[in-house]
Amino acid sequence: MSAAEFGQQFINALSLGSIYALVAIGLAMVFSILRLINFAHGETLMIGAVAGVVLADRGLPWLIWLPLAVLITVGAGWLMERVAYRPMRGAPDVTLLLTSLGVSIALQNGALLTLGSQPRPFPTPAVLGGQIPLAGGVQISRVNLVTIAIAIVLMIALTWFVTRTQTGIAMRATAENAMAARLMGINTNTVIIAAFLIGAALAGVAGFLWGSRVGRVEYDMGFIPVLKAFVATVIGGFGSIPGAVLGAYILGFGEIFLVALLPDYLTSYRDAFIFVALILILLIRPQGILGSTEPEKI
Amino acid sequence: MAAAAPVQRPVRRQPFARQQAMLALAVLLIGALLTWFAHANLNGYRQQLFILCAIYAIVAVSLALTSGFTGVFSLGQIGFLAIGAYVSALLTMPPLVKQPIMLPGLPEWLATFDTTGWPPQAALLFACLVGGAVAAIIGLLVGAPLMRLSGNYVAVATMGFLIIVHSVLNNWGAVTRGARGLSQIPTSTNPWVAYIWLVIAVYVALRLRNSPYGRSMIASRENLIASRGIGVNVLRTRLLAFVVSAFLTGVAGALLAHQIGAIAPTTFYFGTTFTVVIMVVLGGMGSISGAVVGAVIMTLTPELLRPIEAGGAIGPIQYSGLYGLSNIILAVGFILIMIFRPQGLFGERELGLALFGRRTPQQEWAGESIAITPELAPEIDEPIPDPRA
Repeated sequence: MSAAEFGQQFINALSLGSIYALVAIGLAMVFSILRLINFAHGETLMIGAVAGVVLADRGLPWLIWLPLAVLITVGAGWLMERVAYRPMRGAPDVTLLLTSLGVSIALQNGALLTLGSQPRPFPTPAVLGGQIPLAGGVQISRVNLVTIAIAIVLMIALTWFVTRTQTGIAMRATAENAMAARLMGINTNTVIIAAFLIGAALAGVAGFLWGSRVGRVEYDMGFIPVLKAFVATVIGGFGSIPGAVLGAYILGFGEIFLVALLPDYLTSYRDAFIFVALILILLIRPQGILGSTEPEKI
Repeated sequence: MAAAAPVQRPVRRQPFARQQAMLALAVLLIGALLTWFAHANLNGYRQQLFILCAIYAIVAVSLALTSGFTGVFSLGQIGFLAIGAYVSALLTMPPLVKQPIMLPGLPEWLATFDTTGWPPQAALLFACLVGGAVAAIIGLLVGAPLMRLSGNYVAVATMGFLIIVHSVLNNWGAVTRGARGLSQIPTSTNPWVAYIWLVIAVYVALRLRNSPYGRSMIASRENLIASRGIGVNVLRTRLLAFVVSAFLTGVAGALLAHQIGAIAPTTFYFGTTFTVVIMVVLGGMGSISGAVVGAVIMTLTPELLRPIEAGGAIGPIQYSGLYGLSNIILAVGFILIMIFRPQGLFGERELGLALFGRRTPQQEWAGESIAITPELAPEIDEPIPDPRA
């Protein structure tokens, strides 16, 4: 691998990891509070992208349809919590997981019903098209650069939110110990809703970035990102937000360089390798890199 | 614990057993009658539906066995269905379509392995057994490490297994023909074979649950640490359930392959996984007859919804095809079950016993948690029998 090629792959991996991170944060936040593995989180990403397509079809400029699409995604996240997950509070872990699978299937087929099974082209804004040449023959696509930049900005904003705002601190407290947090007068309902809204907003942005990256929108486009984000949260430690971000970048790099380094006939097995790694992590260090172990109480 | 029940109800025990045997006989006979009817009188399409119900019932029963009894929720069951289907198909496909031009990755002996001269049912039985055995061996290899995990973790790890199987099926073109899948599999599954395998699956599951192993499974599900405390080898217990269910699912895969005659990786992925999970949850996790009923409902409902999906007219209102609608209805129905009746139709009970309004004696002790009412309290206050006795 030449230096230029390496540089390009490096940026590519950073960008892919950024998208995974945006999706993984939402998963980790909800999991840390509710112990819910929200598979339908991928569908919020899909809704963000689909809303973008539908609004762009109306002839809106992207500066208007992008925030609108994110807003719609946030609404979808709120609705999901209200309709499907709130009645399930306190149910066993696996029941929650299965419910989220149900939500995911319902939303996917809803999109299938409205969009049809054919992929639609994503209205990537012209600003994001093309390449930027750098020194040494390295070329960076603008999408990748913008993805990395947006992810960094959003993550800084999120860090500010969870460390400086009252809701953010309440959120961390609830994740730490929901019962104690409630006793301290924290409204856990608000916290849960906030987690869903923030997660959905990040997923909506990720939907825009993912759509721009792959150039098309499909009813089942949320499936792969959510699976990968999920692996990322496992790598980093279930329910830890910094862990999820770290895991997402590890996964992004792992994926890109696995493909670059593996012999051709093995590259299509990429997903198999990733999930073998996932199972190994679950067996060897189920708490992930940054997660903490919680001894089971008798 | 369970040993205490017959001691306490010496009078009720005898008729209960007889009742149960009569019931089992009646159910078997009704099933056989239905099968005979399906075999003799139904047209091709309806007969296929009947077989499909039986096959999915086997899968649902085996999932209820591992997930319902041990509480280890597996999302990878369909991986075993795929293994059974592909292994059995490779055995019985005529050598003409297994030539190196088509499937260069097959070893010589398998490529020339010829069952075309065998009686079709003998070939199918052989394929079922080998398919099931391979699934069971892989189940043992996968389960040995994975059964250490619990709750969410095991669901996720088994889902990883499913994704790995799917990825291999899709990419190992030299043996599986990748996304195109295998075809020209002899279609030898008939209603009787499917029914007999279903009876075997139900029998195995019921016997297993009423055995010491089954009680260990339920004990480890109810309270992992306490069951370890009374000497249950949780890992071995879970592994047993996992491997038996892998075998049964592998057999179901073989039956499925020999029913359709052509298989592709898309059949064996999340769509089917989800359908089978709904079957088990709908019937009631831990209820074998519930799994069968759930499987029948979930196989027939999409067929009933198909006309709606295809488009047509309700009265004067014309509408075009609504592809995806039946899945939405199923998914929403599933969420509603999860919210309003998480124990499913039967919960922990079995069909016949539920009709009589009774639980099996061991379920009264080891089944779903019982509210401690004043009437029950004296029984619970009884001294715990010495396990060594």
